[in-house]
Amino acid sequence: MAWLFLLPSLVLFLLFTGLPVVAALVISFTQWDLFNPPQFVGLQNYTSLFNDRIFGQVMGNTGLYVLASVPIQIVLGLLFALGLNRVIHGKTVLRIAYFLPVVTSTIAAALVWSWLFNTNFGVVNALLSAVGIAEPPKWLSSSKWAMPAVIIVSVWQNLGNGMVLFLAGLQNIRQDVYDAAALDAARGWKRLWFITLPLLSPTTFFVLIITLIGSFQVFELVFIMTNAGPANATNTLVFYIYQNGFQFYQMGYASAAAMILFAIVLFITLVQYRLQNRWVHYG
Amino acid sequence: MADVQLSGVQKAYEGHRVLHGIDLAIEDGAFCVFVGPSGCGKSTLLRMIAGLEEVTAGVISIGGAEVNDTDPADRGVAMVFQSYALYPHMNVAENMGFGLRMTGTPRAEIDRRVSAAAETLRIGELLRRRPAQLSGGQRQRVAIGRAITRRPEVFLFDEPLSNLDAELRVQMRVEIAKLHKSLGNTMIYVTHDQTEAMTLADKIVVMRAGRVEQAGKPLDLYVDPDNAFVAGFLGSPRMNFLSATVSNGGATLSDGQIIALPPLFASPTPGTALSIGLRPEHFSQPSEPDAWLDLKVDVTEHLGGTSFVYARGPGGEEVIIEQRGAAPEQDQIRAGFRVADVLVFDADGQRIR
Repeated sequence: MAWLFLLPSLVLFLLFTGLPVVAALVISFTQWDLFNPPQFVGLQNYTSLFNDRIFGQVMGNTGLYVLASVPIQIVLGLLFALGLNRVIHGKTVLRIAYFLPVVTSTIAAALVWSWLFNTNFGVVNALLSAVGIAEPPKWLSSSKWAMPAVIIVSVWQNLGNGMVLFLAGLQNIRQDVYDAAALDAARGWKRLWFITLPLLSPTTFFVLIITLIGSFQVFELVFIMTNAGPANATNTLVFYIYQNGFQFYQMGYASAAAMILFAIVLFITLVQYRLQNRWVHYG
Repeated sequence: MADVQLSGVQKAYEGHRVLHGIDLAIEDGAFCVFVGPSGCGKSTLLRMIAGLEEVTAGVISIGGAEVNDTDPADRGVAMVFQSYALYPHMNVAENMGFGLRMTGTPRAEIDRRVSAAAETLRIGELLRRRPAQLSGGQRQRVAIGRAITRRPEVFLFDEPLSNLDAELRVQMRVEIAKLHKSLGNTMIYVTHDQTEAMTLADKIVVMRAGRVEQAGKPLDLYVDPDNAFVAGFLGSPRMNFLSATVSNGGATLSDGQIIALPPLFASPTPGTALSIGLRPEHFSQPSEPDAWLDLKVDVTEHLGGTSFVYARGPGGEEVIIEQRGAAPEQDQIRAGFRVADVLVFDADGQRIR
């Protein structure tokens, strides 16, 4: 009976998630251009990837993006949630305002942001000039500043997500525990550090995992804002997979890269799960 | 050691008044119980003494010093919450020592005081456990231990036993009484359970709808209540009330039975509506009954040593009669009592003495 209820979602999952994962694993051992039959090449795709200079750069870019974007998103999301939790008037309006980017189409947002970041006519540089910065960055056309620009947009877009989850987590902390803390002289920063943050840790853990996985999969922002340029400066793992698969028709090579991404995400998530009992407290 | 004084204490939420000027003196070392039905303001009053709620008007002082604007942690009070409110991410020892740690007490001193408190409450073997690994009774001990560790002047208990099962509740009640005896601190205890109030208190404060109905020693309130609310609230089963009108020979019940009234300072004028109060135990074989009531029996409960007869009074009021031993099954009962035990209340429930 239980299986009958599980059937609808199970069929869809196996068909559109399970099967493609297995297929990608198989394809990663072949050479296949979509038009001719695939040829088994063993581990050749993987060895080529490790000798691929661009793939190395792509891994570096992805690492930088994840290491910068995830902590900023989590810290800002938490700070905004803490702030918003104390606001009494206009709470709903602010909550909607911060959450709006999350539900906005990434493509549309990325387009608007590429205009904002335009070197000569963009609002960002206009503001920078107005505060006296003589030579503002060339942003999307600079190999040094393109990645920071993408990171800024990713933070803007995902901030609301973490914030809403943290807000829910904060509201789950019982008032009587805060009352006890008040009598125990835990105020202000002490209260935040010894009571709020530990009791929020299950939420923090969830936000961390979700944000990490999401960040490894960054694609649309790069696709619209920079098209991985300039000179692969913003080329990330998923974009590289797309590029090899659907622009260069190297399905085997792309699948091998996808398998590496899968392995990285799986590994990081497993490590997080292992580490969680050192810092996550379930009430 | 400290006394607690309340004068004209009021509380209002957005203009809605929930406490209407409470005056109360709780002597140093007293065990004071706030008792009343839910919503009477007893917990709010306790939280105001703790500093968790602001005082709208009036003055609260502890040990002679006004504390209206003093931080909860600096009032010399510790509180035990109904839900225990333990820190779920800390083990028992950390929970108990947290307050000392926040005020910068040296580690060795914290350890010493935590183990002393743990010994008092016999929870020494639980010190490394988390609250989630404890039973309800153990959590309650830890919550009390956390309060003891801080060595407060005044202990505040907010319905501490209401989440425990009946057997454990009785056991913990005795332990709290022992604790008060050995520590000698001032304790203020909130409950809606009149048995807890009667057994624990040196001083009972009966509250209703944001006002103190009566305050005093438990037996004084029991024997000599100021009004029908206090009379009905204290005692189990509760006091019986019969409606009557004053007549020349005493009080006439609704079926015409006339019972004599005890001597009163100011005899009410004939025709005035009254309420006659008699406790169930007043029917329990008084040595020399000098008055009787004829009642219709609904049901009889046999508890072994005593029986409770649930009967209907002349006006259809429920009347509970306590009898020693097994009461015979019967449809009618002629219940004897002494006129001197009768309490008389006016139509508004105020006692006529």
